[in-house]
Amino acid sequence: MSDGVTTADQAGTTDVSGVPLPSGRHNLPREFVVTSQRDRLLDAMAQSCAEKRYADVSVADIVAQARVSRSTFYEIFPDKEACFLAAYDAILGRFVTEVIKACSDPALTWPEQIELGIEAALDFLAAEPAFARMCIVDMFSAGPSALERYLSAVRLIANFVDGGRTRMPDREEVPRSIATMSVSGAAVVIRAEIVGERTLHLPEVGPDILFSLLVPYMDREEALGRSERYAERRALRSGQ
Amino acid sequence: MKQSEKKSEIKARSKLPSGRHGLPRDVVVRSQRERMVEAMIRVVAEQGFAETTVADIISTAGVSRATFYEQFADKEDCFVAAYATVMDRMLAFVAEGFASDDSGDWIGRLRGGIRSLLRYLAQNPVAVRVGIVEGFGAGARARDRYQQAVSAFFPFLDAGRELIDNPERVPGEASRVIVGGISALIFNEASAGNSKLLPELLPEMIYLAVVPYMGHQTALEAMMATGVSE
Repeated sequence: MSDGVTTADQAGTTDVSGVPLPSGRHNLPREFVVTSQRDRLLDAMAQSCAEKRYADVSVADIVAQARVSRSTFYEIFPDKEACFLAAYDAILGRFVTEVIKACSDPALTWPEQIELGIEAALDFLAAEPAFARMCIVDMFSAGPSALERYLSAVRLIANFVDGGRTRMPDREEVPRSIATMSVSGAAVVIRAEIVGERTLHLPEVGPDILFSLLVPYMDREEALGRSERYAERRALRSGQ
Repeated sequence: MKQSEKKSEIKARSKLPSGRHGLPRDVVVRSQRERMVEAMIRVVAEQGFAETTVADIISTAGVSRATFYEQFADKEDCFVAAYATVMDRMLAFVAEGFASDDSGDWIGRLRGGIRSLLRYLAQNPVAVRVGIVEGFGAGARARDRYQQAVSAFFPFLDAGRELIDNPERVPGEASRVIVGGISALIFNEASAGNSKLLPELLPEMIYLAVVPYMGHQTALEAMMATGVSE
């Protein structure tokens, strides 16, 4: 073996060391490799946050979980926070897409949209417990940029809920901050479930959250009835 | 310069005479613990939890590093004690507010309690920074302490159930949504440096607290009848 070949092999090993791609010359475009390494790092970040709190997660934990070298990590991300934020953005994008898909049918009434949106959101979080923890619990200790992303997601949802003021009859006098408070309060309920390790059971709090989001914008009896029917529908579904 | 002046001021005020003073050991230990907790409150209020070191605490409190580790496992342990102290002071103040309206009127008591909380925060920037802004990011134990503090408000809200027909129909999480929503709004405003303006949010918070129990019309009337000053 000439020195030149050895050097090339070592470089290849460093680039993709230990990753589940064939080692050596594999003819994959470098961009593809980096993308898949990046995805694995994002996933590893979320998994690590599910196991311990963000402050205790190290770059070493992430690269070990992702089976990517430390130097590759630093080629892709400047630091741990950048990796966290990229993971946060990736999952938040999917979350928002799922929720919007579930509730944006123009044939639905506003209360129906809220109900289907809550259901889709809770189903998503229950199916992705690592991401749920990261997005709703860890972002408080992951620095101002993570917190800002969380708060803008809350604002986005609150704007939609605030639509009740104009889409429901006689509710113009409800203050705008009510939607901000009730959506943030719903997030507190969700956070308590996640911290209490009941993430898989998150869909069970849907009917309670529905009532709290609807009640400022419609007759209280009707909001109670909708919440109760939602609970019955869920019970039927899980009983089957 | 300014900070070291402040530190020596705290020291001068609360430190026991050094050398042989003949005080019982438990008095010394309690005084040291209080000084370290107060030092943690001051330092976190000034520079935030992430930037605070054990070295800051012991120099502000005027105790040795060994003394610190005799009483606390680490920085977070001391912060949890500081956080608990801040929350207890705040809750004591709020409980007085809830009790201050003796007319027996539930909405009146809610107003009294939330008003006290908002005024307390508007006047106590240290409580805002330590109890509200920093408390969220300082780890699981501080968060548990927060949950515990917040639960103290649930009975005040759920007293609204006694005034309505079919109270069991109001979902169990309704009070958590209210308390969580109010504290989130406080957090948002405090983080943006607007804690002086918190008392102005009282009417909207009253609406939020009343609407699940009494419905829109009563909540709206309660909001309109809520003065910001007085």
